[in-house]
Formats: sequence, C-alpha cells, structure tokens
Amino acid sequence: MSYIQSVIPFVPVLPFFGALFLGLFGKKIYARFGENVTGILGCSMPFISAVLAVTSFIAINGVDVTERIIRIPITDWVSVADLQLQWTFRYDPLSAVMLLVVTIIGTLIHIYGMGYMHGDKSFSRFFAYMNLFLGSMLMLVLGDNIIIMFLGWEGVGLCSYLLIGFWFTEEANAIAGKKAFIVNRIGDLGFLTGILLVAYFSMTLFGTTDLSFTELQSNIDVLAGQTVFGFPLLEVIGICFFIGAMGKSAQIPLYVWLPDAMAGPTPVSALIHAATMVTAGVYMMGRVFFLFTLAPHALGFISLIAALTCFFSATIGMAQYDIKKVLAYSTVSQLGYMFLAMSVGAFSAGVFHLLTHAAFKACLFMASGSVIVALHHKQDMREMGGLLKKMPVTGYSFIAATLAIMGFPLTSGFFSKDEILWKAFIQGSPLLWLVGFVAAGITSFYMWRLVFMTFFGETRADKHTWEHCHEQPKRTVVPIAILAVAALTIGFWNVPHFLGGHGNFTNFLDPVVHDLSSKPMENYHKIQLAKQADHQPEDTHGAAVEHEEHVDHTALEWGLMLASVAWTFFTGFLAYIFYIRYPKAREKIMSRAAAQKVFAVLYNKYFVDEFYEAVVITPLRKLFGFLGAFDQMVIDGMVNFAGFMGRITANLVGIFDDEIVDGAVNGAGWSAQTGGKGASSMQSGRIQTIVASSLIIFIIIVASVVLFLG
Amino acid sequence: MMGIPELFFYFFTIMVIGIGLFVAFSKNLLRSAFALFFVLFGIAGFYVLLGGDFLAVVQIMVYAGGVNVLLIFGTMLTSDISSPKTSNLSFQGALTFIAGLTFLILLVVIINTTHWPMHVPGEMAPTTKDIGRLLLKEYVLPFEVISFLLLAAIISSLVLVKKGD
Amino acid sequence: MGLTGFLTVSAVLFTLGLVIFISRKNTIAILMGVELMLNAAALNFVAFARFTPSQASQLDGQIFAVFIILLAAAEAVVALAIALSVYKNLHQIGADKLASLKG
Repeated sequence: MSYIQSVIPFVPVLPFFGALFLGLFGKKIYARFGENVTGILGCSMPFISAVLAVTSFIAINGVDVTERIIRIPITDWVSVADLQLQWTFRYDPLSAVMLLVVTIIGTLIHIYGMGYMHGDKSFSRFFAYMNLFLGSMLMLVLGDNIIIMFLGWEGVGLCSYLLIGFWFTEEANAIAGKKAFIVNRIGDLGFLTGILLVAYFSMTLFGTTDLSFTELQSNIDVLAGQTVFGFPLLEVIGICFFIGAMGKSAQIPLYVWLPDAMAGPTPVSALIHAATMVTAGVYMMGRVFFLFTLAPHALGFISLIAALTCFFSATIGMAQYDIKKVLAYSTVSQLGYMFLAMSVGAFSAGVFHLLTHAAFKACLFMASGSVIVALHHKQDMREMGGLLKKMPVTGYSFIAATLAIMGFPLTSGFFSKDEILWKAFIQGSPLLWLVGFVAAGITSFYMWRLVFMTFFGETRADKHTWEHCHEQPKRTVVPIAILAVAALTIGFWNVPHFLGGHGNFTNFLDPVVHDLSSKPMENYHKIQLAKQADHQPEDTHGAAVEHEEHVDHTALEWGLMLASVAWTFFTGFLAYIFYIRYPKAREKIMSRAAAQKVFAVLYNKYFVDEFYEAVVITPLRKLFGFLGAFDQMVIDGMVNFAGFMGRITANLVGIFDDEIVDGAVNGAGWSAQTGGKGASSMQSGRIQTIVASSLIIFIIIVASVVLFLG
Repeated sequence: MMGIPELFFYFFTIMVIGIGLFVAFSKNLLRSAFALFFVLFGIAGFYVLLGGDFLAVVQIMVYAGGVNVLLIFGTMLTSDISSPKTSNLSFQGALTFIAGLTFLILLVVIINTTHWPMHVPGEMAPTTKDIGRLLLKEYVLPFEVISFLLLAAIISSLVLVKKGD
Repeated sequence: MGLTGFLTVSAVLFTLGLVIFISRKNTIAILMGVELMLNAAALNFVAFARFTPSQASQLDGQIFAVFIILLAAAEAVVALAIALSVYKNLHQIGADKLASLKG
C-alpha cells in the first residue's frame, strides 16, 4: 500500500471529525479554555489535511505518468441488484490540484477566521461549520463515483446555507441563506436528473454498474449512441450537469444567490464563495470532460451562458459601492471565464484559472474583511479611502491580488486568463474572445476603482473610525500576505509554449483531462469519422485519417496578449483618472441623465431580483392567495349551505319532536330517572372498580360453567 | 436432559414472570416502566422460540424501542418521580389479589383440561418474506386500515397535546 | 415446552396485566397493564399458530400478532397523549381521582 493510498482517506475524514468534535464539545471548550484553544482545535484538522494533501501531491509527482489515477476502495456501500456502489476515493492529478486548493486555502482561511471572529459568541459553531464544509468539499473532490460526489455537493450546499445565515438573528442574513439554499436546489435538481439518466442508462446497457467515473469514461461510446425523448443522451446529460453547475457556480440565471451570500462572515465569503464551493461546478465539468467532448451542442450552450455571465456581472461590479458586493460580482464574472474555457474544450485552462482565481480571490476577500473589521464593520466604499497608510500589509496584498486579477504581465491571472482568451479565440469564435476581452477590461476598471476608493486618496471615514483604524493582528494579515505571494507567483506553473514555457500544468493534468485540439464541433465530427473508419476498415486510407495542419499561431497569440494587456492597462488608468486624478471628470459624466440611467440599471443589477420577484415569486404568492380565497368562498360556502339546510331540517324535526316525541320521552325519562337515582350509587366513575366488578362476574360465570357443565 | 430451546424457554419464563411481578408490585413507577422493558424483551424471546423471527424483531423495535420509551417519558412528564410514594399506591388490594389468583387458577385449569387440536410443528424457516407477502395479499385490507389508524393516532395525539387550548 | 407451557405463561402475564389494571392508581401504570395483556394475547396467537393445525397459512397467527403490536402502539400513543393533556388540565393523573364519569 503506497503512501498516497494510506493517507488520502484521512484527508476528508479529519475535517469531518473536527466538525463533529467541535459541534459536540466546542461550546464547553470555548467556555472553559477560551478562544485560542478553540481556534487552534478548529484549525488543526484542516492543517493536517493540508499537510497530507501536499505530501500526497509530492508523492504523485514521483509516480509514473500512466499510473497516476489511484483508486482507493474503502468499503462496499450500496449493493442493490444491478447497482453496486462502492465507497471509493479517487486520487489523480485533477483531484490532487483541487485538494491543494481546498486544503491550503481552507487552512489559511481558518487561521484568518480566528482573527476575524474574535469576540464572537458563536466562535466554536463557526469552526464546526467550517470544518464540516471542508470535509464535504473534500469528499466532493475525492469521490470516485457520481453519488459520492453528489453527497459532497449537497454537503457544501448545506454548509453554505448554515454559514451564510451564520448570524441568523438578523432577518436579512437568514433570508440570504434561504435564497442560496433554494437557488442551489434548483440547480441540484438538474444535476440529479443528469445523474439519474446516467444511472438508468448504465444499468440498462451494462447490467451492473458502479457509477464510477472510470466506468463512465470507458463506456462513454455506448452511451453516445443513445437518445432520450429524441435528443442525444449525452447532450441532455451535459445540459443537466451544467444546470447543476449553474446553481453551484453561480452562472446566469442562477447566480442571484452569490451576491446575497455576502451576508455571511467574510472568511466564509472567501472560503466558500470565492475559493472552493463555487468552483465545484467547474471541477465537476473537468471530471466528466469526456462526456462534454461528445456533447458539442451542450458546450455551445455553455459558452453562451458563460460569456453572458462573464460580461454582465462584470458590468454590475462597476456600479456597486459595497466592497464585498463588488468582489462577489467579480467572482461570478471570473467563474464565467472558467466556464468559457471549459466550453471551448480548454479544460485544463479552466481548471488552471480555478486555481489562480482561488488564490487571488481568497486574498482579495480576506483583505477586504480585514478592512471591514478595521472600520468597525463598514462595507461602503464611499466611507473609506486612504487606508494604505493605516494598513500597509493588507493594502499591498490587496494591490498584488488586484494585479493578478487584472492580468498584469507575469502574475498568475495573466497566464490563466490569457490562456482562456486565446483558446476562446482559436477554438471558440472571435466573438467569444471579444466578450471575454471586454470583460477583462471592465474587471480591471472596477478592481482599480475598488483599490482607489478604498486605499488611496483622502479618507471619507468619520474621524473617530479613522483614528481607531489600524492594521489587523498577525493571524489575520499573515494568511493574506501568503496568498498575495501565491497570487503573484502561481502562474508560472503553466507558462504557455509561445512564452517559452512548457505548459506544465496542462501536462500534469493530461493523464485525466485531455484538452480538445480543435473546436468542439469539429472535434466531434472528427471522432465520428474515426468511428466510421473503425467500422469500415477498407476506408482507412480515405478521408478519415486527416492530416493535422500545424499553423504557427505565435504571432497571433502575441498580438492578442498584447492587446488585452494594453486594454486592461487602459481601463485601469481610466479608473485612476476618474477616482484619483480628476474626480471632476467623473462627476461631469455622471451628471448627464443618460449616464445616470445606465448607472441606476447597473447599480440595481439589471433589476434581476425585481424580475424574479415579479415573474416567479409574486405569481406564486397570488396563486396561493387564490387557492386560499377559493377555499374560503366556494368550499366554506358549500359547508355553510349544508349547515343551513341542516338547521332548517332540524327546526322542522324539532317542532315534531317537542310535541309528540317529548311527551313519550318525558314519561320514559321520569321513570328512568327515578330508577337511575337508585342505581347511580353503583356508578363511582372509577373505571377500575368497573373492571374489577366485571372480572368477578366473569370468574363466577366461567367457574360455574367449568365446574358444573365441564 | 433438557435441550437448548427448553433451557431458553424456562429462562424466559422465569424472566418474564419474575420481572412481571416486579412491574406489578414495585412502588416506584419509573422502575416498573424500566422493568417492563425486560418483560417485553422476554416475550420477544418466546417469539423466537415459536419460530417468529420477524415478529421478535418487530416486538423489540415497536415495544421496547417505541411504546416503552413513551411510557417512560409519560412517567417522567406526569408524576413526581422523586417521591415514589405518591405515584404508586395500589388500592383494592385484597380484592384484586383474590380475584386475580382465582382468575389465574381458572385459566390454568382450562388450559390444561382442554384437549387442543395439535400437530407436530414443522421446521422453522425465515418468515419475513412470507409475512410481507401475506400483508400485501390476503391481509391488505387490514394492513391499509391499520395504516390509517396509525395516521389517525398520530394526528389525534398531536391534537390532544396541542398548546393553547 | 409445548403449547400448554406457552399458554400458561401467557395466562400468568394476562393476569398480571389485569391486576395492574385494577389495582394501580396511576393512569400510566394502567397503560402498562394493558400492554401486558395485549402481549399475552399476541403470545397466545403465535403459540397457536405454531402448534395447532390451520386451514390457511401457518403464519396467520403471526400476522395477528403483528397487527396487535401495531394496535398497541397506536393505543399507547393516544392514551399517553390523553394522560398528558389530563395532567396538564387537572395536574394529576391518579385514576382514583379522575371520577368525572360519576353518575
């Protein structure tokens, strides 16, 4: 048993154990030993997991490339007829990368959380939830079959609900939690439908199935021929899976929960809504990339959604004042990039952007949390400014992460985003590239706007707050600084070929995730042709064997890269002009009616929430109101009418009753009363006496029967 | 020479009757309630001896797991368990004792004098499958009725203990 | 350990249940007596099912016992609910004190 096989099962189990332990005894430990001990206990399990994940990662690099998919069976799980589910973990390059992201960033955020949650009553509950979340996420990542993945998937959904509504005493937070949960359920319904389709077809086609990804991948050709309701099966499954990803990874139209999710504590925003949970959808697509390879139409749909999400949420980000909301919309937009990469078949580029985004977005969120705490829980950027002097570590880290997200040359975001844009251009369409390109500029604009409004210029905070504002303790700023360094450097893992690199990350993922080499549709046709060639061996010399054209794209690649760098620099500079150098210019533009209207639309997020309110929620309420009214008017009316008829009949009967029956009854009653008075002394009202008497009588009767007749 | 089943039969008999007496005559009601658990468990043992494996499990789950827990809860919620005197006085003592004893003697006499139609019991076999089949075939109507009854019991108990009125 | 053995045990149980029912003051104790009697009856059914020949299935007696157990469960639930609400309203559940059925 190799090192990896023996340690990987502990990686998800330890946080679960921590959650259980803190959930059961956390309150007592907190009361007895105070914050530090509780916090260290809470951090220890993620830390050990992180150590195990890093060592496993080192170990897998020493394993031969062909043997890098390691399946670790734990136990049989569900074994019903044809369904033979096993509880198995799967450790391969893709899950290795995800493990690194989840455990390392998770641990840093736990440490940061110790500082952020300082003085909170529910300190231990916070760490119990965070550990539970981490455990679920690790289970999602390590699951060898779709069902385990779905378990983790639901687990993170639950934790998201618990953590968004963490301060549930305030109604707005509780509502935000519910919103996240419900919106996620809609997505999960899609995912579940996909899973059931896979399970159904696997069981009918292959007899026994264990629903593992390995099995799915090896049987994908059989599934590809199937149809469901006349649609190709894989396209349907692909869209179902994407609907699941839509909910979890906040794509249009199910992104609405994410900005509201900022109601939770900032470490939660950093952990769940930037670095890990929202990436679950991207990870899932990477996991089943072989399915999407054969579903080009689904990929087309995804690229449409992804491009829209990427662009629109970036524009909303331009007009927000709440520091966390800006970052939230930025997250949605960056997730759009990831799906854009996925949808053009650049799976490794998507996963790489996931990795870099996790680093810089976690850093941004944590830094913003540090600012929020320093300003006594103010989140409005209009009340900030000039904080760089007061909080240098936070400020410079924030700027470093901003450089990464805008794609400043040689930072991590530069490599990952550039790769995506390039793939979108060459394997998608120039239009997709254009949308991504414009959105990249907008990203740069709103991020620099955020930086300038928060850290530069004169302060707009009131005097008291300003004087009390200071840099946060070490346990808060050290994780931020570490992530800032990571955000700057991590991109060198995947330097593309045209810049003299080797695409190491892509190569690392290659055993499990193969990028498409051409447009999804062309690729699909190529596969079909190859298949036909297999069926008709005499044709092998014909058109099936296509000569790969190796066009040298280096010049184009350089051009696009330079264009996007120039464009992001320009928009960043625009932000500098508007918010630092010539604020008057901005005011002048904003004073125009048209500009104000645009701003209002953006500020109100395109009125999407209002749209949902009007189109979904209000009609539902009306329907319920109508049903209630129907009940009142019609059903109650019928009941009342029946009652009325009954009363009339009763009155008629009553007259008859009074005159004739009563006469007879009264006579009988009188005699009964006289007799009953005598008998009533026997009625004690005590049930036990009655039973005892009947027992005695029973005994007498039975005994006499037995004795005299038997 | 007694076989293992006989041994178990006598063991369960002593357990059920001995603890049953304790249930009947213990001063502390809570102890009675706990002792009742063992009586019910002993009856489950009898079921096993009679070839009712499924029944024994149902007995333990429903009685020991459900009804008995309810009884213990009821005892704790209603009576002042710290003073056992108040909770558990018996009355009509002499009358009950005589009547009960007579009744028992009568029953035993009847049991032993009646000539029961007997047959040699067959081999014991697992019953769960057959019981399930019977419940959904021959006895489907009682089965549905009792489901309805359980539903009614749930609702009525909720209504009875509802707060407010 | 024949049929009579089981019947005798069940007779003893039934009598115990009866004695509890008659002599105990506490309503919940009375409920225990009822449970014992029901169990005794169920035991009889199962014993008869095993030792006496029957027309239909050998399991009829056991089915009866299943139904008895379910009925007893339903009965216990309702009876306890009644006991609780009586206790809530009258602050005691001594069966000797609850005599509103008195004529």
